[in-house]
Amino acid sequence: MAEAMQTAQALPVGSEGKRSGGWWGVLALIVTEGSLFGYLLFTYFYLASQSEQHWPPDGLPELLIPGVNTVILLASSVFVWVSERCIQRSMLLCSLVSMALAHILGVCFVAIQFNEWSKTTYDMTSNLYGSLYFTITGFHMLHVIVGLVILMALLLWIALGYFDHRRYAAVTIGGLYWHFVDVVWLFVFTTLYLTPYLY
Amino acid sequence: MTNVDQSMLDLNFCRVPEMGSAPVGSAAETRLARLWESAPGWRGWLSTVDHKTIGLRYLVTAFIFLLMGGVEALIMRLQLARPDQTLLTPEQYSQLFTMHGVTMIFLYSLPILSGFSNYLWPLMLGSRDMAFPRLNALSYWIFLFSGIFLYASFPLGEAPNAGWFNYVPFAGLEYNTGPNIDVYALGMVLLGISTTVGAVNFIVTLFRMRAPGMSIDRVPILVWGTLTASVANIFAVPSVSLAFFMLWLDRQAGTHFFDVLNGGKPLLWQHLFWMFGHPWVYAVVLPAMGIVSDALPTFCRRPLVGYSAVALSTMATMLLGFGVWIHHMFATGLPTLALSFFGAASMVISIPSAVAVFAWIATIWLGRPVFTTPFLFFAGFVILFVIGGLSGVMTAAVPLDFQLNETYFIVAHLHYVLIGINVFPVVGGIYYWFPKFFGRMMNETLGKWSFWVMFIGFNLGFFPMHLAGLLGMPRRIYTYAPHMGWTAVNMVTSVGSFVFAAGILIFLVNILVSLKRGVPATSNPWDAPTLEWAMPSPPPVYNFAVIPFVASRHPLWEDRLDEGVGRSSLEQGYLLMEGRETIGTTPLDAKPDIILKMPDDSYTPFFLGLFSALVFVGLLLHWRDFTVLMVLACSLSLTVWMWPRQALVQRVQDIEHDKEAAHG
Amino acid sequence: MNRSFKHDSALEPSVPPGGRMNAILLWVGLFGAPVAWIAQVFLSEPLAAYACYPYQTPLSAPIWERLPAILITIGIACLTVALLSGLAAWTSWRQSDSKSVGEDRSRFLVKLSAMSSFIFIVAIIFNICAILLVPPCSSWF
Repeated sequence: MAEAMQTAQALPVGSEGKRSGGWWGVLALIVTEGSLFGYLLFTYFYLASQSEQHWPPDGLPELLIPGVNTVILLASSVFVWVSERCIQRSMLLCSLVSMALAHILGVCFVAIQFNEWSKTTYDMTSNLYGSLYFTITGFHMLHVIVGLVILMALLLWIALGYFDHRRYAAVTIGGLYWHFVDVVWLFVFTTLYLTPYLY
Repeated sequence: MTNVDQSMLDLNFCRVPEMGSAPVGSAAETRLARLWESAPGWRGWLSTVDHKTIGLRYLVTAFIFLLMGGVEALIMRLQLARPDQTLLTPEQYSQLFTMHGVTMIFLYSLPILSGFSNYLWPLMLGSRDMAFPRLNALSYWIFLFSGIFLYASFPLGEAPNAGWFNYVPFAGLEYNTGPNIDVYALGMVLLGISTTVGAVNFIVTLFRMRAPGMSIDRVPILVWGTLTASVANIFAVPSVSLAFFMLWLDRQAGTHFFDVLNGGKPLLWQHLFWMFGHPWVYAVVLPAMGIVSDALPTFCRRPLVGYSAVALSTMATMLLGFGVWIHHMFATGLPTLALSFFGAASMVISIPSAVAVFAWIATIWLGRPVFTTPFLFFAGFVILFVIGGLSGVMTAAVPLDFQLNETYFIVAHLHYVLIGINVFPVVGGIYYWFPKFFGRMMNETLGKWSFWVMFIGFNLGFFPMHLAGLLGMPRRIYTYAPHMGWTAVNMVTSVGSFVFAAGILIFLVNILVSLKRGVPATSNPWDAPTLEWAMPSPPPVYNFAVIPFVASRHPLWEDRLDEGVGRSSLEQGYLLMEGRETIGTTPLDAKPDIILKMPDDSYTPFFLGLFSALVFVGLLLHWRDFTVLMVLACSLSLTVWMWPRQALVQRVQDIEHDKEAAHG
Repeated sequence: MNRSFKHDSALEPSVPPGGRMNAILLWVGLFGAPVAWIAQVFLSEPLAAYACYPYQTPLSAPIWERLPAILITIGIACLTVALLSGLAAWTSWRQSDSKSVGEDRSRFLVKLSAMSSFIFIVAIIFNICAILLVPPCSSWF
C-alpha cells in the first residue's frame, strides 16, 4: 500500500461544498472572468492616458446615485451570504427570505443602473469615452443579469426543498459567483467614477 | 441534533469506499463496464462524455485542420515557387495565408494537444474521467462548430484576409468592408469559449482527480505542460476575446476603440492581441514538450534527468511568457527603454528552455536509446527546438529585430518553433500512444520513412527561409520580381514543402495500414513507466477497474528503480461502483478526500454548443430575433444542465422521500 | 455530520512537517521572486513608455526628469524582494537537506522554489541592466 495512506476513512459522497468539482470550477471561472475585467480596465486606462482631450469629455461623473447603488449591490452580497449560513443550519425559511432579498436588491441595482444609462448625454457611438463607459458597464451588467438568473434558480431550488445542511453546494457555488460580480463592480466603480477625480 | 447523527449513517452522503479487486471478467468488472458504457448508435455518439472518445475526436478533428492548413500552404508555395507567378490573385493569397495561420495556430496546434491530454490525463492520473465530463464534451463541440464557422465564408471567397494577427486599421471597417473580418472576430470569441472551458477542466482535474498517493511531485510532465498551458489560457484568452469583440463592436456598432480619428489607438489592438498571443505560443508548445519529456525516457530506458528542473522550467517559461508580448511590437515606435525590458525578458526565457533541452540531451546521453520511430521524432524535435530557439534569441535583440522584422527570417523562426516543437512531438506522440488508442502497433518501416522524409523535407523547406529573410524578402507578399535574387531559395523552399507533405502522407498511410493490419499491442508494448500502460490496449470504458494507489513517479518501473519506500498498488484499490464514481483527492498530497459522482451521458453539451454557435451565426448575419431566441435556448440548456440532481448527490430531497416510503 | 469535514476541506493541510514557519518560507520562496519580477515589469513599462511618448509625438527626453532614478528605485525594491524570497528558498532548502528521506513532496516544492527564485532574480537583474545601459527616450534609428 502506498505509504501510510488512510484507506478505511469515511468520505463524503457527491457534491459536498468546497470539495465538489463545481466549487473549483467556479474559482477557475472567476479567475478568467476577473482577467476579462482586468483587460477591460487596462483598455480604459490605456486609452484615457493617451487622450489629449478633456477626460471624461462631459465633466466629472455624479457620485451620489452610483454610490448608493454600490451599497445596494454589496448589501445583496451580504444577504446571499446570510442565505448560505442559514441553509448550513437547515433553516430553510431564513435562507429563502434572504435569497429573495438578495435578488430584489440585485434587481434594484439593475434598474438604477439602467436609469443612469438613460440619463447620459452620450452613447456608445458618440465618442471614445462613451464606447468605453458603455462597454465596461455593459459587460458588468451582463454579469449581473447572469448572476440574477442564478440567484433566481437558487431561490427556486431552495423553495423546492432541494437543499439542507447536508447538501447545498449549489448555494455556495452560485453565491461565490455573485460575490465575484459584486467585487468586480468595486473595481469598475473605482475606475469609472472615482479615478477621474484624481486628475 | 439527532437528525445530524442519523444522516451520518446515511450511506448516500458519506461512506467508506470499499476496497477490492476487479479482474477482467469478474462480476464487479462487468458491472463497471455496464455503468460506464455509452448507448450504441448515434445516440451514444451525440451524448457521450467519455474522455477517451472526446480525446480521439479532438485528435482527428485537429489533424484534419492540419491537413487543410497544409494544403493551403502548398498552394501558396506553388505560387511562390517561381517569380511573377499568377496562380493566385493577391486577394486569394491574402485569404490563404490568413486561413493558413488561423487554422494552424488556433484550430490545429492547441486542440491537438487537448486531444492528447483529454485522452491521456485520466489514464495517467489514475482516474475514471476528467473532472467535468460534460464540460469536456461541450468544449469539443464548440471547437468543432467554431472551426466550421471560421471556414464557412472560405468557399464564398470572403475568408478572413488580414493575417492571423489581424492588425487594425487594416482589419477595420474602413479598409475591410466585407464579412471577412467579422467571421474571424466572432469565430475567435466562440473558439475562446471552448478553450476556456477546456482549460478550466484540465486545471480542476489536476488538482482534484489524481489517484491517491500521486502527490504533486509524482505527476507526469505532460500533465505539468498542459496544466501550465491551461492556467495561462484562462488568464490570456479573455484578452483576445475582448480584442476581437471590441473590433466587432467598432465594425458593427460604431464604437471607437481602434478608431484613430476619434482618439482610438491601433496599438491597443496589438497590445491586447499579443498579451494573449505570446502566452498562447507557449501554450501550444509546452504540452508538446511534455509529450517528449514523458515519452523520451521510455526509449532511453531510464527516468527523465531533472524532473523537478523540467517541471519548473515549464512553469517559469510560461510565466516569463506573459512578460514578453512587446517583442512582437519592437518596430512600432515605442520608446527604447520600454522595448528593452521586453528584450531582456525574452532573453531570460532561454534559461528555462535550455534547462529543458539539456535535460533531454542528458536523458539520451545517460540512457540506452532504442532507435524506434517515436524516439526519432523526439530526438528530431530536440534539434529543431535548438535551431528555432536560437533564431528566437536573435530576434529578442531589439536592433537585430528591426532588420529581421516582417521578413521571411521570422517565418522561418516561427515554423521551426511551431512545427519543430508541436508537429514533431505530436506525430511522435501518435506513434507512441497509437497502440494504446487502438490496440495495434504502427508499422516501423513506414514509420522510419515518414520521419526521415518529414525531417529532411522540413529542413529543406524552412531553413532557406532564414536566407530569404536575410536577403530581405518580406513576408506575406504574393509574388516577387525575378531580379530580386530570391528565386533559388524560394524554389528550394517549395520543393522542401512538398517533400515534407510527402512525409505526412506516408504517416497517414501508415495509420490506415496499421489500423487494419497492425500487430496487436499488449498492454505495455514499449515497457513504459506511467499508469496509462497498466491497463489493456485499448483501455476499457471505465479506465481503471479499481482506483490505483500510487507510491512513486514511475509506478510500472518500481521494481527496477527501487524508488521511494512503498510500492504502488494497481490490482487492489477502491472499487467505487455505486453508479459512475471516482475518487477526489487533495491538491498537493493526493489524499482521498471525497467520492465524486460522475454524470451520465447527456445531450445537453451538444445542444448548448450548437445553440451558442447559432448565437454567433445570428450576430454575424444581423438576425436579431434569431439571436435572442438562441440566447434563450442556451439559457434553457444551461438550466437543464445545472439542475441539481439526486443521482449526483447535489440535492437531498428524494432521499427523504425514499426514506419516508421505506418507513411507511 | 458535515461539520466534521467542513473546515479542513478545500484548504488541505499544506503545512509541511516543521510547522507554519516552514510553510511560509516555502510559499515566499516559490512566489516571491516571480511576483517581484511581475511588479517590476508592470510598473516600469508604463512609466518608461508614457514618459517618452505621452501623446501623438515621441519626445527626446522623458517628461519626468528623474525617470531613470525612479526606475532604478523600483528595480532595487523588486530585487530586494526577490533576494529575500531567494533567501527563504535557500533556508528551506537547507532545512529540507537535514530532514529524513520520505518527504518527497516538500523536497520537490523546495527545489522548485530555489529554481524559480534564481530565474526571476536573473530576470530582474536583466531589467536593471536595461535601465543602466539604454538611454530612456533616444530613437533607435
